[in-house]
Amino acid sequence: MELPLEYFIKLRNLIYERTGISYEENKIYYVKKRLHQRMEMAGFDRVEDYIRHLKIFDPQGREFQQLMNLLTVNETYFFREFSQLQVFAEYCLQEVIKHKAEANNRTLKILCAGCSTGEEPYTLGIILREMIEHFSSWEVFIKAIDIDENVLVAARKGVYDQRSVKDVPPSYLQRYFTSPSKGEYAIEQTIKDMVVFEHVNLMDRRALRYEEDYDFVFCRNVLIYFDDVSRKQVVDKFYGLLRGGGYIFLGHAESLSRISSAFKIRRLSNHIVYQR
Amino acid sequence: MASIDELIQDLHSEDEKTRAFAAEDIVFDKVPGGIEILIDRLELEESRFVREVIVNCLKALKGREIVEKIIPLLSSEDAFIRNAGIEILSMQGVIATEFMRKLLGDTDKDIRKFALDILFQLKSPNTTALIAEALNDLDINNLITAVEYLGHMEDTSYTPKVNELFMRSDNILLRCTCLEALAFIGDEESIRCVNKMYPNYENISILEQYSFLKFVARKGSDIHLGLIISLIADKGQVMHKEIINAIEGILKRNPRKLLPPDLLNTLSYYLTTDITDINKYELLILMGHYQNQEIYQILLEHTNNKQTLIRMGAVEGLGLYGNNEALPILQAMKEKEDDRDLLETIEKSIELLQ
Repeated sequence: MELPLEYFIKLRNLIYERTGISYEENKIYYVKKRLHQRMEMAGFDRVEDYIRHLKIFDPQGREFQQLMNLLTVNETYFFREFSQLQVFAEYCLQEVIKHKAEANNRTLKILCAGCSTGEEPYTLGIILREMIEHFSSWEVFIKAIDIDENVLVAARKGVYDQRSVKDVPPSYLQRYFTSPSKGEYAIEQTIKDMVVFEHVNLMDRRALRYEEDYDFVFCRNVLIYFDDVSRKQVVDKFYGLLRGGGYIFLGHAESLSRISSAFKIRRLSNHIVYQR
Repeated sequence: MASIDELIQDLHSEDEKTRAFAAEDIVFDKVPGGIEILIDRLELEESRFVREVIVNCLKALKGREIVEKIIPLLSSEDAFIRNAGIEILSMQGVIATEFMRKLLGDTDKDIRKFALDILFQLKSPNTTALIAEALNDLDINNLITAVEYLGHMEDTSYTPKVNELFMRSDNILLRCTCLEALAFIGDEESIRCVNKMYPNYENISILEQYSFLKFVARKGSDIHLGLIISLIADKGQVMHKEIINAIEGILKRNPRKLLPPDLLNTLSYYLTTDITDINKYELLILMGHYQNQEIYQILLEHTNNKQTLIRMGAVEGLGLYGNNEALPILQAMKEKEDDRDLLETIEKSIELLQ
């Protein structure tokens, strides 16, 4: 299937308008392949007809969601979107701990929304251990939430396969994992102790209402699963639980610009981050 | 659960989180008179965060009552509130349509414009007839908006009227909008009108060139290639995206085995300029469809380009070109490349050539 640039841009704009996810031009093949897959399933031969269908004849957004499900099939693994984590570790975290240490406040709170089987919150735990000087003098709390009880069971267990740890730097693998059997990697207890897993439905408007003073919210590649109104509601919830100066991290292709104007936008080392 | 009085009190609390939660509860607990209470608060509220929460809560409501109460916000002097009104009404579906019909007759041209914006965002095929009513609006901006939206909605029922507007208007912006709309909804008569309006390159004013190219990309034929080549000489670097789209559109609608030599020269020239990588990617794939001998060599040369996207275009182009002498080159690339997408395109092209 061919995807003329004109239609790639139209589709990209449509996806951005509806989800805040932006596909760079070098992703044209990635998008083309999945678009082709979806068009075949939905019985479309021509890209222009398919885009027209999405724009005009899909008022409930069902077909659009099917396409997005293909485009956003998320693998979860440790140190995913490494360059974004670098921005967190080297800029935002340093700024926050400096500011807090000066105010003699040595607590650090992170919310990890849509934590799935736990790779992301444990990754954050490892980063905190590595990046915070005098770590033992800090009280660190990572709350990891998901709507799916089954993934939380696996997350609490904290045992992973080779695929999940493929991007873990070897020295960290040695320091923060044990190997209970061949091909299995269990997260070390001190990291496990930093994370509390909780079953939370972000669509419940009362959920997390009384949570406050979080320094960071990680909600990467999750907002895509909500409609416009709910997405805004969830982001408002995050705004409410962050302290002033706290950061929210979305997936690298996601943007808040069409969802909320309450956050300040900062560009750090080629990444956009949002700050309350 | 808090009582109504408590919620109202919370809505006026000093703490912005408390006000935001109260707004949510007022809507979702269906507090009687809640819409008016929130609209009143919206007009007083200074926190951007709480304002956004209130608007988002109101968006979740559907029905006649919310439509009736939100319409007056369109006349607010506060731009945030006006835009909030448009957003909320745009989510109301068919119920809002009948109210918009009335607003299209409003004496205030801005209100008529908002009604058009809302109708367009309602995204219902039934709204085109109402939008088309504005083709008779005396305000030129509203007329332009109506033409633009009809084009986006791709409803051909009003094409004759748009053709007529295009031919008789001396307003360049309206003519540009007509051209861009006709790119989607134009018919044979539209092509005749455009050809009559622009018999040669000199007749296309600078402002109309972009729109002309957009029209030609969708509706043009071989007879427009000459005009495009004249444009390239003059505006090739500034308008390269539109020019490439127009050429691509014409070639797609008029299949052939070989590219005309002057066009091949033009496309080859583009590959040597500093147009963006994505445009070069697109050009290489386009060229892969044609059998001119020179093209094979051009594609091979680009398999060594530093930019992944350009190598990818060359690889896809080679697959389409169909010369299996490229197989060893693609096999060698497969050994040394590590970009996942590029590797897939190499494999696909190898498959096509085997």
